[in-house]
Amino acid sequence: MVGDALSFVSNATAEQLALLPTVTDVSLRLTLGAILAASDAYDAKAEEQTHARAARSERRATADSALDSLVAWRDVLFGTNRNIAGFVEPYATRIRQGYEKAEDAASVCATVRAQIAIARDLLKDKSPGIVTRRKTTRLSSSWLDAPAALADRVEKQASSAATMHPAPHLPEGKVDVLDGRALVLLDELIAAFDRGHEAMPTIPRLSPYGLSTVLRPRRAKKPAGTAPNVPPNTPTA
Amino acid sequence: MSESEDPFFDTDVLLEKLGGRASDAELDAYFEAIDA
Repeated sequence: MVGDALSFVSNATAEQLALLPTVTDVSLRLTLGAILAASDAYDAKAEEQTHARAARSERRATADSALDSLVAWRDVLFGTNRNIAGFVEPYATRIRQGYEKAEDAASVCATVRAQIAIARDLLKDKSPGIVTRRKTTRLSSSWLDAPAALADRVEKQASSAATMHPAPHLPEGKVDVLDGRALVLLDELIAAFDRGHEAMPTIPRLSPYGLSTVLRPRRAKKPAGTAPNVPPNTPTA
Repeated sequence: MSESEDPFFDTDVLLEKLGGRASDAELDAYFEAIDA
């Protein structure tokens, strides 16, 4: 639309220009600048959201992988404890009560920690039966460090995934403000041509045929293979 | 002349004809003047 206006005023007669007093290179430059600012902000916001989604997805995948490992550790610890003391009280009751089947991060972490606590108690237990059975396994303090560290990591990731909302680079409403500015200037431009047309019919009206086509500036073509970034319903020239 | 051949439809050409892109500061000043 700025192109239509500039194209017309570039070839307009002195009489026509006199009836378009607010349509100058300065005002058209501001209008185009406002349109480009709105378009850039929209593109930046869209890119920001794309990156945020990708980051969230990556975090989730990493957290899921760690949780899968911890679920495996939970069952290994449970099996080891049962192997050593599954029929010896009070261990047997603790081992059963300290096992949750649920596979959410909090439940798995709680189970792993409960089973680690039992295993550490078994390591300290000097009763002959426990010592004999313990020696048939690889249970050791250092062996327990790995699932303990993994439980800490899973808990931290779960907490991070629940609370992490990266601060947007563009404040909320910024895109709307810039869109509003562009629309104000476009409205003034259309109104100026309308007034001119009323006074002299050889001055055309500017007829937007859709805001998405009015406000979307034509940019240089992106290299082949680059996905076009053309979000729907975007103010764009 | 089709739209694709019309230089007035090319943003880069428009910017060149208009003396470059208006800065954020220029736009801010313009709208502050309106709001004042």
